[in-house]
Amino acid sequence: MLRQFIIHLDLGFAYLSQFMKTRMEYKADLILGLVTGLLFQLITLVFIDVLFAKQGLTINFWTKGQILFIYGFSIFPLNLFFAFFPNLYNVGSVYIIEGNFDRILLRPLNSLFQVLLEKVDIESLIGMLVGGAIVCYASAQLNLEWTIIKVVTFAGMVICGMFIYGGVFTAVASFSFWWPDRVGLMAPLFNMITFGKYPVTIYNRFLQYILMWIIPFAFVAFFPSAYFLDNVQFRTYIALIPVVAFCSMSAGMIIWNLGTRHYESTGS
Amino acid sequence: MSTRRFPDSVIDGFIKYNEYMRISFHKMLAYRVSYLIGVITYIIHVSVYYFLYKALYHQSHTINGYDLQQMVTYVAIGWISKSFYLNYIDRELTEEVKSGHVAMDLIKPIDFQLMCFARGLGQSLFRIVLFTPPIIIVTTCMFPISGPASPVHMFFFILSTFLSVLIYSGINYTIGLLSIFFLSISGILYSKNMIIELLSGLLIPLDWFPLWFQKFSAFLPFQAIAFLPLKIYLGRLDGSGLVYAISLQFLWVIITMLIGRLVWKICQRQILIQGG
Repeated sequence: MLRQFIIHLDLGFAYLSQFMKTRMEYKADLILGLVTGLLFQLITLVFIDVLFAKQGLTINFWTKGQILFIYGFSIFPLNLFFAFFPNLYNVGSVYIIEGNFDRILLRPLNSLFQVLLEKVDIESLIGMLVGGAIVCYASAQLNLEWTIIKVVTFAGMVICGMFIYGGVFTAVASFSFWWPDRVGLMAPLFNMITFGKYPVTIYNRFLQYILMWIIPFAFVAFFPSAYFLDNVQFRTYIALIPVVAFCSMSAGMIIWNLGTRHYESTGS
Repeated sequence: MSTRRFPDSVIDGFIKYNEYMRISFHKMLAYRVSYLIGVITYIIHVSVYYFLYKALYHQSHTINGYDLQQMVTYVAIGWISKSFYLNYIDRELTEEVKSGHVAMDLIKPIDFQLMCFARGLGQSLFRIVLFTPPIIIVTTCMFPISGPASPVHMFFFILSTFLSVLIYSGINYTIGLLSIFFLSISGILYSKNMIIELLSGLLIPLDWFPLWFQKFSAFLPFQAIAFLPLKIYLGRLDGSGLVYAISLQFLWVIITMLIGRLVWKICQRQILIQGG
């Protein structure tokens, strides 16, 4: 078990360093990626700023500072997810329809692990700088106190958030093993991420139920932020964050493994 | 490169470009799953902004001159019209450059820009016939949306949205051409979509922005894509204001097309280098 883990870790670094070499070859593209990454964060920031332009407005009693905090937090798990899981988007097209999954299956390594490591978008991590700046700004506005424990909790919750996204999107990407499709359900699910940027309490009961128990995006940014905003109302949900993350990723991996058994290569 | 840039006669040209329109229409028809999922995606977008604005209005009756009813209508009609004016000619152009198929288009006796526009129109035609109607039905069932201010406003709204298609195509074509200079421009395309969503006023009316920004955005083509048509729909533009808005849109159709032609001129040299 431990040996397996070390082998995976070692190979993981080998994959990463190879990938970084190819990435550095195209410097203009890398810089372009960095700039667009920053721009992406800026757009929502402007949107929130304009939304609250008139003094004293709240979103169901959530103030501008609080909404900014939630948004700033949401950038962290999302960008980690963009950095380490972008290849899930290609599972249907590149791996299944074009048959590249054969190559993956021939190697004595976990197939999901290999697929994820074949494409890493390190430049997405730059967005976290913006996220950090927003969280700092919002904390100052709201007079939030930061302690070492809170910083560690923050990091832990960010990683949980990444695994919630990872699990959900792994599960959806796995559906391509049964119904090969180029993009399929990824696109609408991708758009559902927007729901998670705002307090889950603003939606109707149906959407709240979905965002908490079916596609648990409420646990990615909103409930973690509620912890830092000292909102005692959501204590139970805050405690559930790691559980949801574990269940989400496990479910994703189980569905992936079931899918790989179902995989039939292309061609005759 | 053929010197015969323009079709010999109008009818000849119509038949030629009409064919590109037809092919685009049929291509869209082939992706049935994407179609269904596309409808769901629009419903998701309208839902997010519906609930967000509803929560924003929970204490105030009017904000920046809009009441909740107008705001919900603004957002819903905005996304409905987007389902019509949107096209993917930028992405197709990128793929053609990557695969080298663009070389085949260069040797044909056609105008490259008009060919791309014909494709864009083909996609919009598909959308208005098969894609937009279900979105209209579902959104009007789910959300309280007001009708147009008057039949006259409705007429000008439709005309104005048609002009949006042309402006959107003009921008998409020009941005798509950048793929000749960069290896991967998916990031640029993604940012372009985000910028258009914000600066066209799709997410939030432009008159909510600070005054200096409103003055600035008045010089950009983006407001002509969503904000102006939506103002017409809500009846916030009358008489001379309406005429001004439509003329401004016409002006942007011409300017974006001319910029596209200019960038294409520059690109042609670049293509020769790549092929060498």
